[in-house]
Amino acid sequence: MISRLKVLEEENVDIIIGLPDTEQVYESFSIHLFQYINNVARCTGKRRFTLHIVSIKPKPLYTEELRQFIQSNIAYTIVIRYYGHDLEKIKEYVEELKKNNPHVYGFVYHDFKELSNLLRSLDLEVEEV
Amino acid sequence: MVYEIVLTTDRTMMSNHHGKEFLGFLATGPAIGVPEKLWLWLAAPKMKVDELGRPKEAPYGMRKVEAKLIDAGFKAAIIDPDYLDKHLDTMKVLMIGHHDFFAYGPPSSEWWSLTGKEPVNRISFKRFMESPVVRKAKERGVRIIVGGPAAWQWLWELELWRKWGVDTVIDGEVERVIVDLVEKALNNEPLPDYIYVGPRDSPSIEEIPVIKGASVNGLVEIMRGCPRGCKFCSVTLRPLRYIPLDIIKKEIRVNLRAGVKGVILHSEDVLLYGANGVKPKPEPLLKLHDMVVKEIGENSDLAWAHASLAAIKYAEEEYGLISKIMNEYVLNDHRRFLGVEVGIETGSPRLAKIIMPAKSAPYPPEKWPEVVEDAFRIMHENNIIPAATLILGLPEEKPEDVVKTAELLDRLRPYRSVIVPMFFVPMGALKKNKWFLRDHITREHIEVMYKCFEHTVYWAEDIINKFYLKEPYLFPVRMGLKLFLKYAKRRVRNITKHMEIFVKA
Repeated sequence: MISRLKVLEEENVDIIIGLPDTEQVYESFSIHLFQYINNVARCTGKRRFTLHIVSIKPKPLYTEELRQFIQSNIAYTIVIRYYGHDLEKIKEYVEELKKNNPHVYGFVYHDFKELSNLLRSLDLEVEEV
Repeated sequence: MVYEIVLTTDRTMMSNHHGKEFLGFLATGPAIGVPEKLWLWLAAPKMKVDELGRPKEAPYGMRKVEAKLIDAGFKAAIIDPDYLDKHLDTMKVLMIGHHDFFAYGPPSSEWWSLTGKEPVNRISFKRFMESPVVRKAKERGVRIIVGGPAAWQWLWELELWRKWGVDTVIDGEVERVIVDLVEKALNNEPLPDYIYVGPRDSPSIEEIPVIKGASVNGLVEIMRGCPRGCKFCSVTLRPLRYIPLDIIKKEIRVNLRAGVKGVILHSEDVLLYGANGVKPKPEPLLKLHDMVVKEIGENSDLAWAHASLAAIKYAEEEYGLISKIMNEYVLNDHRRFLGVEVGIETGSPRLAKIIMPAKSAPYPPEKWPEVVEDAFRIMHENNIIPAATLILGLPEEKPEDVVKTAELLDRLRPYRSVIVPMFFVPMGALKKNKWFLRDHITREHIEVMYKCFEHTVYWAEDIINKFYLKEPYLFPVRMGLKLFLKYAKRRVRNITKHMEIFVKA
């Protein structure tokens, strides 16, 4: 059973985010994500985004990777949820999400092939950066 | 009464600042020349509380959240930080709000950079989060939700976020989401780590609750949002909403019933209440002030939170509205002045055009320095005392822009006011180096800062002598401030002799 916030996670876009698994922070990841979300907003007309974070970095330390994105955004509602690195659970979760929302996408760091492949196998459009 | 949901904050926020909210700004700096305890007392004395630890007055934003939760049927209350232990056994959700959790906002970051010492508000907040009662609450599984205008600062303190076990950070106007979020917290459902409520999810007037308890110094909101679109400000993105007079009246009565004598009308620009775009209209403003003074009577204080300089000039020159409001409603034997925060930001029309093209509207940005000067003159003539801000170090700033600001400061010298320079600080740089400003400051910046200091000290003495802290019980505070001004003057004059050390070679 997925826990969703009323209003902010209704009529939204769900994006599964695969973060880089290195110590280093890739500033360009945030920049690409911002551009990507602007494009999705343009195409779908949606203004609410839930980012489902898949990362080996613990919470909330992974947000360092997203900081620039979060601080650049002023227009959209953003909800960030964390799932760790358990791909089996992610699979179940994505399947559940897809039942309720036609707008589920993947945005994955290029080295995180395992996640990209998983999401593609679930028929998600995946953007690699 | 058993409270499952406790809202609180640290001492620097949970205070009425001796009834003079401007004194609260002292907490944004480090203790200078006196022990921290004394500094904290000057800035943020303890609040009166009832037997449950509920403060007589509390920050307005927290009052709104409390009201929303109570209206939804939750057992929620704002509790003074010194009395949290009374609710440790029943508390399931701890909600913490703040204007400046980690002192990254203006002017805290500026004092921190210049002095190299942690500001009192940061020290106080960290001490609160490390306190045994907050740690015990976390150990017992209490879920911690933090929010308010400084929510973004948690993104720069991830280790503390983790260490203190904060469950959710929420940023933006929360009325539409807070009830559901708290319900999920109570039901032990997974919570998001971070929420940013975008402008399209801002609440409508009907969704904004009336506060249940008194706000600090009687602050009540009269509108939300701002139409001016300045690049450095996020409020401007929010839809413009005017709070109806009957709601404002209800909140004033909540404050009066609690014994708070006075009102601070809160808005990003009070004079735009009911306005035609950026042009103030007399009728809504006169009705507003008429209602307010009828409610509070002759012997209560009245202040505006913020007003724009362009609106002050326009209102007076088109309708004589400033004089009318001041003479017919505000000024009397008790209310001898009206305080307000205003933004000068720059004296350069070139920079104004880039960063705040509509701040001078309905006048063109090229006229910005004249708008500022005219508005200051109008305020001076009408016993309005502004606390004004400047922003130095904006990304596209050139030395000649700073020189224009210095020239404007010279022209503002005859007008009673406090002018505080603030630095636009890129967060990453501040994080790495507590002496950030010393690496980026220029001679022009120093000139402006010194002019601001001279201006402010000159007028602060005048304000204290003629207007401020006149109540007998505030005598120690008055003396404390006078001593501090003396000390600050001596220190700054000494420092200016060795100013070169501040300027990077």
